[in-house]
Amino acid sequence: MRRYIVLALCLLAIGTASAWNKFAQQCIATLAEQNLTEKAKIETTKILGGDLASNSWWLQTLAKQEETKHTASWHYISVDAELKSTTTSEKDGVVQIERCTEILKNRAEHSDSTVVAALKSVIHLVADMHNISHIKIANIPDSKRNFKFQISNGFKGKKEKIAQSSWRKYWESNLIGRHASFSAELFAADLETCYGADKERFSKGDVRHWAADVASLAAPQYKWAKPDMIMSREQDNRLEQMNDKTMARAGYRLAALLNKIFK
Amino acid sequence: MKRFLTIVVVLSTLAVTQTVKAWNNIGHATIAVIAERHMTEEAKEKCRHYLKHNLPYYSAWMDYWRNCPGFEHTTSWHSVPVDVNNKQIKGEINNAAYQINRICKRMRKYHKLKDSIVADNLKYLIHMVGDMHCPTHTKYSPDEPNLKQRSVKMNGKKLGFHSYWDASIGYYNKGMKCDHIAAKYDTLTEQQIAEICEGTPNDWALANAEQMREIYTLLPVHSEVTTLAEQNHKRMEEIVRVQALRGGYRLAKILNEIFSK
Repeated sequence: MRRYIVLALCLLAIGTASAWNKFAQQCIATLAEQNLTEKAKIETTKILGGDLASNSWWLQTLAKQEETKHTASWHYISVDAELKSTTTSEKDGVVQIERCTEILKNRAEHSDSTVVAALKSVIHLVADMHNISHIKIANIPDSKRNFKFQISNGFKGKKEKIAQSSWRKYWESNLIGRHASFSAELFAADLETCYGADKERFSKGDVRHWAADVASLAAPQYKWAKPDMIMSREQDNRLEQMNDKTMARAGYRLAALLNKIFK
Repeated sequence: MKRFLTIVVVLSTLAVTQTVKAWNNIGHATIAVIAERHMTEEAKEKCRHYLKHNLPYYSAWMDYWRNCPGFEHTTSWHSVPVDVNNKQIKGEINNAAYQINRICKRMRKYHKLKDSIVADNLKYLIHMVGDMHCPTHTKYSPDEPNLKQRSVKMNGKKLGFHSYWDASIGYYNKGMKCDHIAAKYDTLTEQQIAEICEGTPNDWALANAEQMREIYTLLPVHSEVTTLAEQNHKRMEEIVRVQALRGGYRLAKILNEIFSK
């Protein structure tokens, strides 16, 4: 019980963290919402007083307060050299999702504010654990830091422009930024068109399996991604699909988890 | 007056924050959403089958790939060059209308093409039909120096005339998402839509060339955009709306025709 009180206090307080940007979080939550069972939708709406998307940024807003700086680590997950998630550290996103899931399953034993905080955290953290730059792989040092690099616009000569970016900024906002003019509903509809047939396959397993799966997508990126590299426009274009893939997985898995909790 | 001041504020803000290219992303996505709203179920289903995405997703695809190896030749396919009589330059293949016609012809037998070829052709069409309706994408003859795309000013800073118009859908719809702009614009009657869709890409290119001369008087060379007369902004906003609708309706018409066979 004491553990849960500490968690609730942590959740309700403010911390600093990095996350998939607000639009990406909303798209993932919207996709999840569209895949909730009727019962899960009723329960989540009752707890949140609104939809998943409008509560997807809450954990991020708990930023910049001294007493909860430690929550920043929750936005990342760690896997071992075999890409398995085996950690029990409370600093890890997977462990926090598991903990919040338990609160939600046993919600009758907790205060309303604890339940609300747990649900909002699950929405945010399931998304964040699918961000390629949020997977820390034991034997890949570059996966554990936010290195700077440059992106070329593809032109040669005078017209060439090189933009500065960082590994996390790139995966958190550069790629999804291409579709920033879409509403979250429009982008979620596109993910459904593209990945709807795969939703059952994506949703299988538990959060530890999902961590291993997304780590298997992240690990190969470090074969080419190096600090101070100049990324070509072509490479930049090709990575867009990878970003979509992980967003779709996040949306369907968030729905699967909530459907299981509120069955 | 209040509305005018809002536009000025919007323009000032976006001048700093918005990246511009072609009809830029929001413009292309808006046109693609309008098109989807008027496509037959069969055409939508076929497009999704080949693209594995909805139309708006690929609406700016040509802009992202134009500088990549193997795609450099497409960089001149975004506009329509015309002579002093508004006619397309004969034999010029670096011309959006020419390329649209070529692809439409090829797509008549789409079922005999490889899926990846059909998908690429669709991506080109989605972008080029939009782009040929962008106000500055009629390239007038160098013999008409008053129609040269010079710079204007925004808050005293130089801004490309072309860039201004490319970003104009965003300028006149601040804070709105493309699908919301499409819903706001798309209010024409079936009869009006049918009239817009009459003709061929060549007819549309000719009409654009005749009508888009106006933008050079509405936004004169070196003028300050933020202090432009309200009536000019109103007219410019209307041009942008109509051109987006034309692009969307005509794209739907082309895709409906391709996939009705």
